[in-house]
Amino acid sequence: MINSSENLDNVPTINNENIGEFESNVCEFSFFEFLSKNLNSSYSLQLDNPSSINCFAKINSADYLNDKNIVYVGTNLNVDIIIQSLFWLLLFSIIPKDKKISKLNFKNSSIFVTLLLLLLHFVSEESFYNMNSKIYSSSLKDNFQLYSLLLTFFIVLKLFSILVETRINNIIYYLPILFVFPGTYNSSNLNVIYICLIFIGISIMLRKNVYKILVIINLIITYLWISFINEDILYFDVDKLKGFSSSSYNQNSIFYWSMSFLFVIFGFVYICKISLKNVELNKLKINFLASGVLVVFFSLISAVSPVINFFTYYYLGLNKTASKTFDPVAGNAWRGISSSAEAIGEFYAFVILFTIFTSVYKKMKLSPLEICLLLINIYGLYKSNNFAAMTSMLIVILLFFIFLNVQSKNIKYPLYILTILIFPIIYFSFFNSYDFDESSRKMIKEGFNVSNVEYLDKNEFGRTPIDDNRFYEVILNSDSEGKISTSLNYLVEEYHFSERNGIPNITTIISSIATPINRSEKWGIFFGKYNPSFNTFLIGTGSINLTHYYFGHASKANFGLILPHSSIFSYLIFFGILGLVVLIGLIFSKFYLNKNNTYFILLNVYFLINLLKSDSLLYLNSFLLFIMLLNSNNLFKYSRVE
Amino acid sequence: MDSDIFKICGESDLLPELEKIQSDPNFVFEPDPNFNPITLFNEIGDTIMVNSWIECANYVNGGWVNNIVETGNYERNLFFGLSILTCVLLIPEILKYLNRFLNRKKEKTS
Repeated sequence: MINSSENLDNVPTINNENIGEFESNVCEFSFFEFLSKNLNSSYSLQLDNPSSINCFAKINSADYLNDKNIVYVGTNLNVDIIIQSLFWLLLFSIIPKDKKISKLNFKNSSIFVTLLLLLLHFVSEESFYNMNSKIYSSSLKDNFQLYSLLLTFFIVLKLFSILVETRINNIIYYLPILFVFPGTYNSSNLNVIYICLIFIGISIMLRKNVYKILVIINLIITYLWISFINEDILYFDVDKLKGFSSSSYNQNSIFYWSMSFLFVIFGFVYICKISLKNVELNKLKINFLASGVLVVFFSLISAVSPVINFFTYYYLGLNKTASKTFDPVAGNAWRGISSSAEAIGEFYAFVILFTIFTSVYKKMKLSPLEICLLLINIYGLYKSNNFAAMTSMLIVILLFFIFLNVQSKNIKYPLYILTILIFPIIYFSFFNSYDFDESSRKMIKEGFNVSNVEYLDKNEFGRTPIDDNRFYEVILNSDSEGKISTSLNYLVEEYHFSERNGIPNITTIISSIATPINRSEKWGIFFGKYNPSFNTFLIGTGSINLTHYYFGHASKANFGLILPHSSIFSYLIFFGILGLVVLIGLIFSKFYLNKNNTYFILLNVYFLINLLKSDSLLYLNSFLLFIMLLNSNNLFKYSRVE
Repeated sequence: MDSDIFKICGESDLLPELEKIQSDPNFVFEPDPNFNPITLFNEIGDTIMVNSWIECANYVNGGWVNNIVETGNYERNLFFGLSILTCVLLIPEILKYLNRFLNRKKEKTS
């Protein structure tokens, strides 16, 4: 920001007439000088990521578009990583030290392996970096830019390794703050928290044999994922998934993301294990509440001014710039600084739920300050307009109070069932206008809508076989080969033949879940695009890599970021049906082992219900919150309630 | 410089033309359909696409190159700065190891 102007005195106040001056004096005016001269001017700021180091924090031209002055601010890959990392490390150093030091072993080796993985990342996602740096090259010869990147990360990890040992027991208290500071770098597909967790994960792996075995299993699976590659895909616009999703599909990117993802899990599970046992619930509750309030606060101020919007994006490490207005997206949800209104709505509802649980558990009334913080979180939830999060939160609260207040098992269990069923009953009685058959048809039609089936003949009324629900006819059409995704093909066949055997088919089951939660369209698009082979259906295409799903099958939905709108579907893409079965098995085994811990079960149930219809697990902060919840069996002790 | 021009823009007998256009500030480059466009970079990383041999030669003559890594003077300086910082971070550790090593040696000899 303080990179000085070449002509300090000449920075003009921007208006429609002198915009040419900014166009012709590229990289002349410092951003700071510009801001000081244009406090009351009207303009919006846009980042010019591929700028050179010299043009960092300088005005790189301006445009007059749609009655608006747009000013481009230069940012640079190397400088961004240095400045953002240092700022976040400074924040990290504020975390209070713990008396108990948890030594990390093999620190230098862990840094070295992390750097090797990062090098692989930079090589594998060349197209992404070419868009973010004019001079980017993945060549290793005389490439000072790449060397500088690696040295920067070496310094960052070295400093982090010094800071982390005395703070690792306290990190969990600051998990909620990740919703305020997502920690994503501006011009790279990296996230500082992800990188630090890779480092911790490698350090843990090197000292525990169980983890080494898991790494070997992961290497075998990664080998299979790599062997499934038919064709490299150079670039996928990760947009709001930046820092936690691969932007390419090749053997190096699959290797980097699959290994790093495993290390991140190791690292975070370790943090949970060492710190969750001794967590002060009240402190964690306050941090959740305060983080929710900070998210609301930064969201509001980011919508007020383009300058604040720019700074919140840059220094909070947002995946995409915060909402620039108070208007909801598509008339229903306001995301604020979060990448996703859905994910942040789930977070607010979780904060409310956690506050209630903790207060009851600790038998403590909320203080006036806590009530104020809670109300602001409720406001955030209201603005995010996440109906599913609100409903599931209410159901879980009801279940919780039944658990607390009803002693008789004869009354308790019917009440549980009634509470769980009441919302579906209300929905199907008063709001649902589709029968099961119609729901299935709706989802299949959405799938066909995004498929390239323009070749279909129309009848005398201009209707295609799809309009007349003759879906199987479309499948049988010789022109359909390769045009209809394998998953849609399967669903149509199941739907078509089910009426003859009378057994509820998978298509009807999925669509009858999709319709009440308003997912027919989104899941229909998912099936229109999801085109796995037998192998990729079994074990997926690689950890946090949507690229093959996105471009592996030509459809009308290959532009813009259209996500599966269900974390289960996302994980089906990543790990296949076998991976999904293992994951679900692990979750249920956790449930079984903690079946008496109602707090643990209810918090996880809340999260799982929401994962069914949202992409939250594609965002690092929500993903880490989910892992924390799965390891939170020591957070609440069931016996205390009894 | 001539060898750079031939290396980057390819062989041509139009080199004498270059001097003429250097003295003409109003010279407009005509795209050559037979010339494969080349992207050139300057020292601060700006890029330009040249569409004729003479245009290419003119820019190369002005210091533009096609090897992007070579252009990164700022990156080079940054690299050296970061290298110094890395050494500062590593020196205490190296000294610590050295100390430990010497102590062990002392213990063995005593």
